[in-house]
Parts: sequence; structure tokens; C-alpha cells
Amino acid sequence: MNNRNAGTPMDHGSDHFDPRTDIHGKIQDTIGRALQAHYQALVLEPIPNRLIDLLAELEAGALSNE
Amino acid sequence: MSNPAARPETASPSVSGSFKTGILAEIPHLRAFAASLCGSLTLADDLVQETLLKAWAHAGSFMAGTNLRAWLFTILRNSYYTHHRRYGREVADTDGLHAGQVAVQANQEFHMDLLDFRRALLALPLEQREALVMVGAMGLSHEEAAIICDVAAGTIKSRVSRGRVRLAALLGLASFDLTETGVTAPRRSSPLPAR
Repeated sequence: MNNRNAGTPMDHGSDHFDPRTDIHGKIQDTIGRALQAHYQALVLEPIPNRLIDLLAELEAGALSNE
Repeated sequence: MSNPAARPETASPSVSGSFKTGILAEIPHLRAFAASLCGSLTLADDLVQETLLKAWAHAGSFMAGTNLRAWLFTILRNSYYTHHRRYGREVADTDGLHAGQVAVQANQEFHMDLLDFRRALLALPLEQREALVMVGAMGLSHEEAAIICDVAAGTIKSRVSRGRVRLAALLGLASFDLTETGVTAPRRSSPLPAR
């Protein structure tokens, strides 16, 4: 009959688990980690010589005019 | 304009050593940001090169003690947008961002590899992508990102939110959740509560 404690899907207790908000938080977390992994991998790429050389040339004044 | 970091004031005509050191330290970040915009490290290096030349030429307009990163990122972003406009369409492409099968440390529920993630990221509208990278990857505040993009902080906030929802949809992370938040039904009101 109407057994309140039968644990049906409608039976939410006080610490009611909302799968939507819970998953939502996990998705945000996952996206955050992925963004950082993406960015960190790029930051760790070796800097090509042409950029280092360019800075050196700029410093030497060889390219001081725009 | 509304960009304090780029305000041309108190020109110091000589380029100081600390300016150069500061720029050198920012190069990896400039490349990472540029590659996130254009999807190619080669193209990113062209953009960084252009940024370095412009930064050097306009060194006098940088105010010592202000945010060098924001100043450089503004230059780089403007350069990218100029090219973007010139070509009329995005060159975003993952060809230059070889990620192999590097797995992203996600959590127990979701597994993802970096290349899949980058494809999805590059499929986002540019404004959402840059906001997500600045806030979500670089850890800039909404205010800092807003200065770089010359928009209000609230605009950055909503771009980040919309970008996240769109990424989740592209990555198949949340199909049932997103139908309720308006992503699969276009042009409904804001997909996520503002945070």
C-alpha cells in the first residue's frame, strides 16, 4: 500500500540527492581540469629560437624602429 | 580607453631590462593563449612575434608597476582579431596542437583525452573560448579578463558560463542536464544561473 519507507524513486529523505546539481558540479570540475591541462601543456612547449632571437635583436636595438 | 594597463601615459623612452625580463617570462603564456585562440602553435608564434615587436615599439606606453601580462595579452588579442577579421573566418584547427592520447586527469565519472577536449574547445565561439581560457585555465579574475577584452566583468562571467555549458554539450558530458538548461533548445534564456 502506501508504505512511505519503501524507498521508491519519489522517496527523498532530508539529505536528498539531486543528481542534476551533483553531476553539474562534476562537469564543471572536469572542464576546469581539462582547461588547465590544455593550457599547461602549451605553456610547457619549448620556446622556439626565433622568439628568443627576436628579443635579443630588439634588445640590441637592431629592430628598434617599428 | 577603459584599459588602464594600456593607457599611454608617462612614457619612459628607454626599454628597461626589467621590461625585457618581464616579457621573456610571459612568452610561454602568450603562446599558450595565442594557440588557444587560433588552434595552431605555428600561428601562435607568428602572433607572439608580432606582439613582441609591437610591445617593444610601444614600450613607452606601458606604465611600470601596472599589469604587464594584461598589457601584452591585450596587444596579442588585438593582433589576433585583426587577422581574424582580415581573413574573414577562423583558422582554428587542432593540426598544430598534437596532443596524442594524453588523458586529462578528470575524475572517476569522466574520462577525456586532451585532443578531444581541444577539438571541442576550438569549436566554441571565439568570445567564449578566450573567456574560458583566461578565467578557467589561467586563473585570471573576471575583472582582469574584462580589461583585456575591453568589456564588463559581467560579460566575461556570462561568456564563461555559456562556454562551459556548450563545452559540456560538445563533449557529451551532460545530455540530459543540458536539455533542461536550454542548450539543445536554442535561443532560450540563459542556460546557467549566473555565478
